[in-house]
Amino acid sequence: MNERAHIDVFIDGLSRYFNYLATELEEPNSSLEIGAPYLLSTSQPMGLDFTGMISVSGNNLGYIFVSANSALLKRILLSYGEVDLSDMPKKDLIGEIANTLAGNARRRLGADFHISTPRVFDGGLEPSKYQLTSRCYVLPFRWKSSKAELIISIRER
Amino acid sequence: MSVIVLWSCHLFVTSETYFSASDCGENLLNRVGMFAFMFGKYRFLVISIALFLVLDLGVLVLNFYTSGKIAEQAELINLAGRQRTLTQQMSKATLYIKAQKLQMWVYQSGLDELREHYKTFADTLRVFNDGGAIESIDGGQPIEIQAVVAPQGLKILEQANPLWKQFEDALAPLMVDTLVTDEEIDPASAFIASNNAPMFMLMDELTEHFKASAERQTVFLRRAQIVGISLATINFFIILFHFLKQLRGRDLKIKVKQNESDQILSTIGDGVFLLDKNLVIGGQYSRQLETIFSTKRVSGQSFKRFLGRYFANKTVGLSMDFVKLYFRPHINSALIEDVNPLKRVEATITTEDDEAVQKYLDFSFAPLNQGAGNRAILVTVKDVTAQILLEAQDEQAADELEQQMSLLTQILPVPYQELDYFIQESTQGYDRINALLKDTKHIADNFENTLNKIARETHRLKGSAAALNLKWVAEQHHALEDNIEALREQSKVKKLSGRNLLPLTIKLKSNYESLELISQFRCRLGNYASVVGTTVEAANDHQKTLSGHGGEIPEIDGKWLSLYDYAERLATDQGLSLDVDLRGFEAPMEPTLTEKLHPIAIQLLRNAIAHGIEDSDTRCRLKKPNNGQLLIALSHDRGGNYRFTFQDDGRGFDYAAIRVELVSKGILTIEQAGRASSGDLIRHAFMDTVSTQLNTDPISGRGVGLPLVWQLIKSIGGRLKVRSVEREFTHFIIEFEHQSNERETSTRTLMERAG
Repeated sequence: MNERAHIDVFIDGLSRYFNYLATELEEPNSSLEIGAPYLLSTSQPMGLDFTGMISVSGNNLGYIFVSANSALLKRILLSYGEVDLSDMPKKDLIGEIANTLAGNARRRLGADFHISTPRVFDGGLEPSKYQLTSRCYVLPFRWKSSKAELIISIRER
Repeated sequence: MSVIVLWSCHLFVTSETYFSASDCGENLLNRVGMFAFMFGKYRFLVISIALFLVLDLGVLVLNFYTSGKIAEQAELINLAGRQRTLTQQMSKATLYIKAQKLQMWVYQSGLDELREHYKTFADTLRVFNDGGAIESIDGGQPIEIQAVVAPQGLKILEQANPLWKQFEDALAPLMVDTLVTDEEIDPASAFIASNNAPMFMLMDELTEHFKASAERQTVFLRRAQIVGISLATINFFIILFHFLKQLRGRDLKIKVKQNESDQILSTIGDGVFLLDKNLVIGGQYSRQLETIFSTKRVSGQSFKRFLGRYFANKTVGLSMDFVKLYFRPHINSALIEDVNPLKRVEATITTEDDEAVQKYLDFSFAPLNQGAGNRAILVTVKDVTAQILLEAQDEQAADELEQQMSLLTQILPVPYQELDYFIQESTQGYDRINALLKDTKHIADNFENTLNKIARETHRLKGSAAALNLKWVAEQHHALEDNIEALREQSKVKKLSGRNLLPLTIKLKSNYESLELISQFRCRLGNYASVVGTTVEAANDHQKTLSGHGGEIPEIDGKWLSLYDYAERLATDQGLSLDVDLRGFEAPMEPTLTEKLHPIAIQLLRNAIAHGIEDSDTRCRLKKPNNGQLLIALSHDRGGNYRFTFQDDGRGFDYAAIRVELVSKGILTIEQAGRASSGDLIRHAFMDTVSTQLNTDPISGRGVGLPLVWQLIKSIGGRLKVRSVEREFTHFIIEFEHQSNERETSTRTLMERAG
């Protein structure tokens, strides 16, 4: 599988999650708007208010981060009927999104693509903590006008 | 008995059927051979069955025979019993005659009765002695009686016969006529009265003798039946146990074979199955087949339908035609293997999780003869996905290595200052493209605008790479331009999302990485200075050749000097000859001035060679010099006002072609295009993506060169003047202001030299 196929798997996972929101929560107008993907060097700050991280090992090494601003997570929580809009459920939610992406990737990419259990943290990520490729793909997306990012840094072993 | 016979026959038929079915795979060439094989193999069975039948038949025959004998004995018993009765009746008849006669009554009936009894007794006794026919006791059909031969019977008869002889003598006078005298009846009556009891006893003994004989017969028959049936039963059980043992043995062997087959089929690494002549998949197949195709629906499936789940209809059709070839007589499988359409073929397989995965599969076919003219095909399916991907990776790695080597050889001749400048310029260019992507807020609305900006930036970088003869980088930029063009085409037919730009971003990352590679090479080149010296020297040689200048050659700035090489390469690629004259670029040039003008010069040079300069034959017809003439000049007024001139003696702007292009792109109507002046048309050529070339090649055809020039001119705040006469020349004059920081070391201008 090439780089494009790997990235497509995670974008598909993202689309699947938000399509699920649109159908299950009966909010048909809440479609996912995917922006133009661009590159971000590791010297630049990455991520938004809450970030879920999946690490990849096997034939490929790297990380996939899904990072969202607080407003997006708040909107999703409200859609679920959640009344507690504190940071904790937001962190749980970003973890759930990351988990969905991981599950989808496990199914699609097979045994050679080991996907870790997602980790969640506040804020963006500190690139220096991770062995990232010199430039990461950033795929911005919006849901109900609130923004989030999928940050992908994968290289072949 | 009959039941037992039928049961055993049924068992035989069942057994035969069983073994026939189990041995169907044997090579049985003809019926005779098959019979011999069967008889040999089942000799024990045949002998046992024959013995069983012999025993059954023997008992049956004995039964018939003994039954007959018993029936005969029964008749004898009856006859002997009748003799006993007749003895009494003859005595009674004589007494009756005597009594009637005393009373002078009629005695005729008694006489008749006596005579009848006498005759019957005599006949019966005769038959006992000699055998013969006699009426049965119930007056029915005469029955045939064998003479008594048993010693006991003969002994009785030997006693009875003399006594009967005396009876005959005594009764003889009564048998003559109807008149009986006292002299006749009295002695007869007296004889019978005295001998009746002995005769009765003898006949009674005879009766008992016959009874005993009959009973012996019966006992014999019973014993014979018991023995026969017992033997038959024993034989039957021997057959039964023998074949049960054989069946159990065979079942065990079959089970062992089945287990072995199952083990082989479950552990074999490939998908294996059999196809019959109807192209139906057999019942046994390897477990790996289920793994490969993520399905358990295999056994009994039509091969065509099975393939149809994973391959396109065309592939399925070709495959079925191919497989049918194996069922044709005299087909050499090795010869047709080359046309196997299922070699390393890509399949789309839906997993249990409903995910579609791509696999590369390799089918191979081997015909099997199953005897009696039957054929099957052993099909082996290998999952070669990993192998093919590995090959692709190896190929990619080899390509990358080759590209890197190629890149290194391309980098080596480039002066390090120019290479550094190129790396810096390209990095900035990529950053600008990346920024365009990042800043695209509403991608659908700004799609065309964003793409145009990215296209111009890419085109400029391609020109810079090509100018340094970094073909590999130029090709990467060209590929990026292809991506942009493809996106433009897609955007005409559907609304695109940011995701559609992903190939562009991936390509951009690849270009960044190439640039990093160049940067690494640049750092590792230890003896770069000597390379620069060599290159400059070589470039100076080119200058002499290309410019045609004699005498004193001004020292031209290195970066501008490389234009000679670039122009020559482009001209050679296009089959053109060119003289380039560079004026006003004497070293040292101010870097910021070079940064502004060099990209413009490259684009105009590419434009001139792609569209302006004619080939030698055309130039000859037009009475132009054989080599195309190109002048690139820079001058200034010492007050910061600069004039950059680029002129060629080529074919000039093709106004008709520009009109056609503008109309076909919908920028102008036919009427507007017809009314447009040459100035308007040139303005459109700089503003819109207009290409007068039908096909795209590495240096032209996308229509972004002149818009890029205009963009660059605008970025330096310049003014552009264009003069062009068809078939004669094109002049581009760019005037701009530039405040030099290095005025003391500025280049000598053309005007100064002229002065």
